[in-house]
Amino acid sequence: MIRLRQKSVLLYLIKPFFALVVLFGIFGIIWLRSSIISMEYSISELESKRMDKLRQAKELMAEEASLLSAQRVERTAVRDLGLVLADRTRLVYVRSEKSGPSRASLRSESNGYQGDAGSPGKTVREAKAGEDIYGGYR
Amino acid sequence: MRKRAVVLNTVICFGFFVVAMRLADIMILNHDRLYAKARMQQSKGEDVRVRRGVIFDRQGRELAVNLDLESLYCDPAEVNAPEKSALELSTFTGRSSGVMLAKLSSGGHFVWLERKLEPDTVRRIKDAKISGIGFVPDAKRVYPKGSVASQVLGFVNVDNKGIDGVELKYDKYLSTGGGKVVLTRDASGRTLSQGVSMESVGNNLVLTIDEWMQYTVEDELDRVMSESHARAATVIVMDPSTGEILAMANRPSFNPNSPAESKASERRNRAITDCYEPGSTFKIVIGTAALEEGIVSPGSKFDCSRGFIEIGRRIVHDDHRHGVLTFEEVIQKSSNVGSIMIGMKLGKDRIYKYARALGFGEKTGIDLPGEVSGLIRAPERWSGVSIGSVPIGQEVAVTPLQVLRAYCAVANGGFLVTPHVVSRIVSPDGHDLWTANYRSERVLSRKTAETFRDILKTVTEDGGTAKDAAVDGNNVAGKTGTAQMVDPATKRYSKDKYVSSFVGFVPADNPKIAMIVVVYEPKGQHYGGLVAAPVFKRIAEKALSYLEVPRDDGYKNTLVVAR
Repeated sequence: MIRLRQKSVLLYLIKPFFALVVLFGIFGIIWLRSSIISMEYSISELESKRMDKLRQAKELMAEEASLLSAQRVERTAVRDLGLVLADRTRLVYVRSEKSGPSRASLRSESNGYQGDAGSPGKTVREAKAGEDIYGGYR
Repeated sequence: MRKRAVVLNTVICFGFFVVAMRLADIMILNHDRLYAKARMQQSKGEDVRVRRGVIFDRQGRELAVNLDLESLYCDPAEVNAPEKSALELSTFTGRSSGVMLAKLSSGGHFVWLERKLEPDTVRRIKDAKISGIGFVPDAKRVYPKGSVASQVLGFVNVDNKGIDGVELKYDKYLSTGGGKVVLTRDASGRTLSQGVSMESVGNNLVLTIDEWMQYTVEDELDRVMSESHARAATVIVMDPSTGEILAMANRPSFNPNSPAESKASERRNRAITDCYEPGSTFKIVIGTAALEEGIVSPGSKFDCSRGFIEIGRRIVHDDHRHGVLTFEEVIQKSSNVGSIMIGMKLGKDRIYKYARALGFGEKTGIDLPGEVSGLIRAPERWSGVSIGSVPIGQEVAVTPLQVLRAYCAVANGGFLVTPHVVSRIVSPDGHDLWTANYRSERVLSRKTAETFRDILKTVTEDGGTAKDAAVDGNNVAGKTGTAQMVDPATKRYSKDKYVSSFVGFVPADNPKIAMIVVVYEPKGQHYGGLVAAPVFKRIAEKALSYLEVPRDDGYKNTLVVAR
């Protein structure tokens, strides 16, 4: 008697439970689908913004390349700032004993040399005549 | 009550039945047709935008980049009030309203109205909400340095296909991918992202050209053109040991941003497409051949005291009488008489053999389109006077690049290099896909190259023909050339039209750059040593400073630092 009663209660609960499951299932699928579409819209908008930023970046890159052209830099350096190419007679080539010349500095008019040649912990000597100064230079 | 319920149930069931039937019609009976129709309405095929790779100079400076612009099209069938639309569009684009009206009223469903519009113009047209028009993304190739290196870079057409220069030669590497992508769109035309890239990016090119050096060369070309009122001029700067072209420029020139505004003659890369009779710069052939064959030594003497030499009915003169000259002096003073004597000692077969060995009469193999081979006739086709012409650079046609390449063989110890302008092809994500590694071939012995190099050094010293090419601080080795041009009217050598040239390398004992300067039809002075040599000097001085090449006496100013 008790078993029959329990069975009918179970049957009574199962039907709405399945109905709820089906309903939630349908709702879930629809919700997922709409979320995906909504996300696709968002991604599409973001892509469009990205393309716009990329377009701006390309414009800026072209402008930068134009502004840094040798012609403009030369004109500004020579005509506006009065700069000249280094006088090669006044260049001092500095190199370590192990490797080729590492940097060049301008000879100071008054006291010989400037630059890092006389830094603490380093000794300096004049290069011997005929010594290869090209090694590893370029 | 029960009757009502029965009626209501029947209506509901019938309603469901109708819906079910319609669903069956849509989903089963007419599925294929309606599915195809829905796909057509919901999907939109879009071209993948092909963005050409960027072209960089050897220091990574951009020489060719892209701008993302939009192009305007119309579907004439969808255009309302074409007259009014044409008037509006003409104000935005600057085109005449008549042209616009003709396009808006034409047949078909797709007509270009204007290509590659600026963003501001696009915005204004979109705001005007004109019916039947649309926009398509369209990349525009831009050369931010203007006309610098224009003949090397080349240019592209409106569809971004390479037409000339590097843009043409490396088109398939610069412009890869393409095709179509199908996107989903909604009723209002908005597209939904499919996670697919709409842009295909080509590979980047790294050139051997140095923008600063190229600009310096072009600046000096402008100067020599204005000073000498020449018809044209060419300069090439090359690394003699690798064949890398550091600068290559010609005048007249053009702006690759607007190629349509230039003439074909301005777009031509004369350095490789134009042949000329080289004159004395061709004496490298008899000079190196005679040394290589052991026919002469630098001290061998030639009697040039008459000042002329007869070859059949032809008499060839020196510029002035020289007396007895050594082989070294023949080259230093550029004696035609002495050179012909050496040529006669060599014979036509050996002259031809060495000319071919030094790369004359064949393409250098430079990676640019339009190169010509030049012309040097086989010995069996020489006339009776050819032995008096070929040794002094007549009856041959060469390109400036061929001459420079031959001198590079002397500069680098005897190797014929392959000139090239592209050093690397780099993928969009920065990986090297290809690196230039050209083989060079030994064509002269080291001894011959070094001996001839020492002789060429005397050309820029006192007593030489090119003292104006001497650079303060470094020895220059080189050779002048002053060739008469053939007058097309008389078919004879003109008395007032010359090609002046100078080719050389510096520092002579450890060359960092080799350079040729060719000036076509200068007015006034016409000697290579007076017209072309000073250009060489000015460019070389700047280039040596720029490349930080020490002076020959630079060891005096070298500090060695112990660590």
